[in-house]
Amino acid sequence: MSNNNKYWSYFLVLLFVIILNFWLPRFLPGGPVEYIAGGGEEGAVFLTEAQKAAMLEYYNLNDSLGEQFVKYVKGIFTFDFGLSISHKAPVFDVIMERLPWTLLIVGLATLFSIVIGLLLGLYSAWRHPSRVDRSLFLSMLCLSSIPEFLLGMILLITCAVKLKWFPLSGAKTAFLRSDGWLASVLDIANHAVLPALTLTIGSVASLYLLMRNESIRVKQESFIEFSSAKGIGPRAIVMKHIARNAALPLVTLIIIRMSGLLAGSILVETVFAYPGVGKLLQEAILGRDYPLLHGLFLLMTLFVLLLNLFADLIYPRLDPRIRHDVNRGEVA
Amino acid sequence: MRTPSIMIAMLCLVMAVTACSSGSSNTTDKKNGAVSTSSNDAAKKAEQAAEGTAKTVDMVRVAGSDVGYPSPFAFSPSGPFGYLRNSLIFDTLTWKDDSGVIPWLAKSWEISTDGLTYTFKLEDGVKWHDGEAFTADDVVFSFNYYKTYPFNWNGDIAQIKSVEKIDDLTVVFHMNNSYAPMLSDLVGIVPIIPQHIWEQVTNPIEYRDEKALVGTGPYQLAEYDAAAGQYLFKANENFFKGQVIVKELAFVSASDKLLALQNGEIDAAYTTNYGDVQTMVDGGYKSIKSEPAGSIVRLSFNLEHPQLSDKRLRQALAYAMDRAEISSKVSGAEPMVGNAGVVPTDSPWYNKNVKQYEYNLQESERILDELGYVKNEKGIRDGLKLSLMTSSNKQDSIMIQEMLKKAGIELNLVHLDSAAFTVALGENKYDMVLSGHVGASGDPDFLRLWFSGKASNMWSARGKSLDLEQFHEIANLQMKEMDETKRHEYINQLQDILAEELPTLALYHRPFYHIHNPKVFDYWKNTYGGIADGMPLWENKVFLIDVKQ
Repeated sequence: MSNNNKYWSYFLVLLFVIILNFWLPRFLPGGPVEYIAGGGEEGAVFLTEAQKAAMLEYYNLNDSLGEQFVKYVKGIFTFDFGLSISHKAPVFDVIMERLPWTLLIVGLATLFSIVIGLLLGLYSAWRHPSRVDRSLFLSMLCLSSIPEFLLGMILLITCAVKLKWFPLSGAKTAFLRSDGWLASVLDIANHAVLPALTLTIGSVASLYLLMRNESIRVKQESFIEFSSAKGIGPRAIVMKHIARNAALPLVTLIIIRMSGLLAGSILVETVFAYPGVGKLLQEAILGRDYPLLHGLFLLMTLFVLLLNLFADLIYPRLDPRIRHDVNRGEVA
Repeated sequence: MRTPSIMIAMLCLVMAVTACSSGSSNTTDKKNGAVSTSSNDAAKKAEQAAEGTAKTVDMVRVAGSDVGYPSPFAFSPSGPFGYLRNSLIFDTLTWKDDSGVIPWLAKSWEISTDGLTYTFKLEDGVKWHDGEAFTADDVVFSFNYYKTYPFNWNGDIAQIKSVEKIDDLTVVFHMNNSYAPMLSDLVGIVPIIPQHIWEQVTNPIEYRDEKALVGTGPYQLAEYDAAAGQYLFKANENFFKGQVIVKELAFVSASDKLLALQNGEIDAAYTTNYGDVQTMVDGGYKSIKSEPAGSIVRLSFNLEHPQLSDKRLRQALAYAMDRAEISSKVSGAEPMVGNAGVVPTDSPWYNKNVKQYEYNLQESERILDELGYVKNEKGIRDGLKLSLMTSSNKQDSIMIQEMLKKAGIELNLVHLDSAAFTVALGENKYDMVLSGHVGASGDPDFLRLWFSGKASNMWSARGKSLDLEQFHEIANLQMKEMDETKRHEYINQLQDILAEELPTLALYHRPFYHIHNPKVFDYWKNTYGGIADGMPLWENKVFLIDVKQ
């Protein structure tokens, strides 16, 4: 029963998002054609009323909103969002071209923030209470209060502009002439360092804080005292008992952080001019590219919902107490 | 040793270019009804001299961003760069260099006295990138195809009645009426596409086959990364107009163009910031100022506004603004105050005798008092509350607000993003609009277009309501006038009317600057009247080629 309820709520959220996804961009003043007509400082097309009408016709923007909505819903089921207005290519292709870059930096950031956050949290808890723990705790608090775009700019100015350790922008050197695959891999890695680092720093603090607090809590439990009394060494206690028991609530947090990282990528990709979906989203909003916005929002929503669903499913398997609760509930 | 050889090469290039354009200028001074252009002897000599001395450059990297797939139907029409990328691959019948319109795919032309028929002789032996021969059929086909599937940029094809093939290398254009900007702004903009490819294509916007990029132009697209916005063009070794000097042309996206230049990631970029130019010139880079300036920053008045519909109020506002001050503060360079008659002061079409509105606060206050907008005890004219809408010229708008405050006028600033701005323009929901854009330095027909009410974007600022029979009459006359002197007179009259009526007030012109590394490539030049329809930019293919003839 409760499982069914859970799926229902996911379904309702998805439905709600699908509807919102259609209407929200259209609440912005101005449409794609107006953006094209605007043109910016370097100049605009001299758009005649006839050309404007042709454009509206071509992108089905002169259909009634009802018709557009029906087309949009159909598109969702066939995975065909239509033609991106600013890119003049199928939305699916446009997104697929950029998705790998976002996955790369978000993946790297997820990996590093988990490893660093958890290890530091554990270390901090182990040394609790001490000066080391305290200073770690305070510096992490500071880090967590810096917004990602600011962090990105600081890193950009210091590491790329002043020190010239890393490239300023982009995901790879344009038209790199290299002999081997190693050079291109290094090139891509070199470009990914700063964006991934920004995202990592932005999300490591929350993981650290939770890990530390959980570990401190577990550390005060009586079974830890008992194992200590049994003569088990401190290292084994930390790794085998504390880490394992503290890790449970972290699964949820890690999954929430992953969706947070995806959102963070919008800001970070803009700062580093990194060609991922985050930057694409920003451009799509400015250009009022409705089809592209639909595709991107849906992709992000699905990503977050699936992650949450995954967390919901995996958690009972990790924590038997919850599994029991659920079972009891079903019996009652 | 190195510098002289470059100098010689440059000299040859200049000679070749001026020589062939002097040929084209023959068309304008027609005497016996029709005059044809042909390359003269000087050009041939220059060509011989140029050959052998032209030094090729392996690669030039220019700052750029993603402006779409460069086929004639898929490039991005917001901003000029999509068109410019496309122009590297596809050619037009005429083109422009630093001296004006030059023969391109058409090697010469004849114009009938009434201006209704254009006969173009095409270049012989031109090959498409796929090896097929270029013929008159392609020209006829292109213009017919654009009737069904509109070209992505300007060029008023509706002026053409029909295009007719005489033989493989001759086409005749029949016009609906005489159309003065034909050579520069119509056949000089609209590219010729290969019939053998496009005749089967019914979805040109989505068409992404590599055949979509078969042109006759000096470059072929070698690589395109849409996500990162990078383009790599490779020289077409069989280009009909001469040897391509720059073998590879890359457009590289850079988040900060100046830093990228300094780091050697790119070799050329443009800016509007004069401060940046000074920094870079001190660092050994070269800069070119766009001449003519090309861009215009202007104020448009809503002529349907109950108060602003009175031209005396518009004039009072003009007197209250120190436009030289705005110009020098914003651009950081020598001020270039706008002409009240709109045509930029550095344009050959500028009318020196037009009424101007020098900064004169007393005069402004006098008119305002006369109109009955009396100052209250705080020095504010209660009856006059106006708003100023802008999207990209925030700095200017704040200065205007301060200046009008001195005259006792309270100004409410509204900042919108590009799309919202255009909508408000279209719906006439504004008092005054501040906009900056290019397009004022090409053919003066823009005066007609801006105020004819046919445009639906910020260029027009809804000049629809410019309710002046006389203006529209003269505007149509100048469009059809083939005699340059007479046309000049018409354009002068148009400027007089605009200066008196002030539907729009040109604040100032803001030159663009090209910054480049002279060690890599140093042949960049300004294009006469701007590339195509007046783009004050430097990515003109003609300067990357050692032009024959």
